[in-house]
Amino acid sequence: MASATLKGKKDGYEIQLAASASFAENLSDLAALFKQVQTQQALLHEESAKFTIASGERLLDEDQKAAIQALLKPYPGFQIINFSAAVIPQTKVANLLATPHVPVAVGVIRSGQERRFDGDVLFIGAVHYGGVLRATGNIFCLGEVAGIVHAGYPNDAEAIAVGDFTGATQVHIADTMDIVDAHNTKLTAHSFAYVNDLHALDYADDIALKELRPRLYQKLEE
Amino acid sequence: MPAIALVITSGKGGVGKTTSTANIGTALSIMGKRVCVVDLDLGLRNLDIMIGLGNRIIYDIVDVVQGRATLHQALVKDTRFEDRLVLLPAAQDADKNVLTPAAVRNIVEALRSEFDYILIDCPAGIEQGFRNALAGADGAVVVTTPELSAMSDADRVIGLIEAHRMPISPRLIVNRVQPEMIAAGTSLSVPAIAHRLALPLLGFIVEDNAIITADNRGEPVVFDTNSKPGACFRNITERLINPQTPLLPVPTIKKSFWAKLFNRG
Ligand SMILES: Nc1ncnc2c1ncn2[C@@H]1O[C@H](COP(=O)(O)OP(=O)(O)O)[C@@H](O)[C@H]1O
Ligand SMILES: [Mg+2]
Repeated sequence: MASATLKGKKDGYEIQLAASASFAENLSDLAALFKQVQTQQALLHEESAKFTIASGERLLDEDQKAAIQALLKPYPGFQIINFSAAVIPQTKVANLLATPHVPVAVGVIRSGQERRFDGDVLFIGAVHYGGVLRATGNIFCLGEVAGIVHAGYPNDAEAIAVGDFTGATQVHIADTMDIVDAHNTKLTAHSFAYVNDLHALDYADDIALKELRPRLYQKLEE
Repeated sequence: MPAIALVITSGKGGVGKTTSTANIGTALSIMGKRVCVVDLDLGLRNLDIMIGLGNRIIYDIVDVVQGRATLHQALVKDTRFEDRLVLLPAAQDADKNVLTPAAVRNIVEALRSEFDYILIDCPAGIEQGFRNALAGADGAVVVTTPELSAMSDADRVIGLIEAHRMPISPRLIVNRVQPEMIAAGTSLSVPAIAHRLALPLLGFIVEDNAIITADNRGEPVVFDTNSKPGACFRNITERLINPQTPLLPVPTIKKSFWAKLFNRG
């Protein structure tokens, strides 16, 4: 069951499918996993279960989703409530690019350089060690970040910063900041940074964007 | 065709700017080009020593700028190459600030018609001396070593060069490459360094004591056709003349069969 792993969530289960395995492997591991969950559920005298399928860096197409749904046939109580992936579909990127209110910037921000943007920015390029990418709104970063990103500059704590910041020096949002080190387990290649209820900079999985910043999520969905 | 003027720069000191200027200058002359190497490292001149012309200096660039000598009086000719290689020496005792970007630009313009290449050896740092060197050049060759500190300084300098908008876009030399360290995973590979700095690679030079011996003899290592760093510098020079020339393969230390068996992945 190496390519499908189960995680308990407060409203059900999340199943993570390893994109490094083939989809066929995913499917057979998934079938075995559903069977195992059913055995467990039976012990608890519980028939229904809700699942989120997180497919990591593999974006599932409709046929693949249908193939997964088909595995549920023997288990009438089981239900998939959401499919999520850690990648942005090309069409969504194209939409982002076409949306006038998220300006696109490209390039390399080198040591000693700072680039500032008014509002949101989709930055396609690299932020090198010693470089600073700063925006008054949200930052969406496609590329390597070794320097500093600062979203919501100077004081918009609603802003988020999306990108792979695992190799960054610091992440700032509004007046909060995090000195990135290897020990932060919440920070992954698929997390985003936001300011939490305690007004501290925090990271959450991409999947949580809908929950934590619903308005922004909607805007991006369009 | 008037000369192409290139500045050899790095930000950090001691990474191999002067060694590169001396060797590329020499290799260009060996390949039949007329070359003037200009030493702008005022107060710390050593390009003359590396090329082996240290004992023939009479006037220097500051003498030219301040009118004590004409440009041609200051040029030191290398008789090994029928005068195809010429050095314009730096001053050893002058105040660093006597040179200005305009003065350097004028000198380069005066040299252009007589040479195919003008190579400007830049001082370390990003202050006045760096700005002077940049002012005279059409393009830059950035030298780094595999250390992060050198790469970070190179990155800073590349940013300034890009902002300067030179007609020829900058290219990278990675010096002091150690294949054993790359194989052991303790050093970044040459392509990884070029990728990190987002700069096209002109070439690389392996770490080799032959460079130090050559330095001491005043005979750039490119003369030594059997040496590895000599081959590296010839490849760099060929790629400078013709960018289509393939890059020398980066030397790799192959893991032995046993090492592979016990240390997979
Ligand atoms: N590839 C190399 N292998 C061994 N020694 C080197 C190599 N490159 C440069 N060196 C040595 O490093 C020192 C600094 O080089 P230099 O060219 O003077 O640097 P810079 O001009 O950038 O200050 C010199 O003593 C030189 O001989
Ligand atoms: Mg030097």
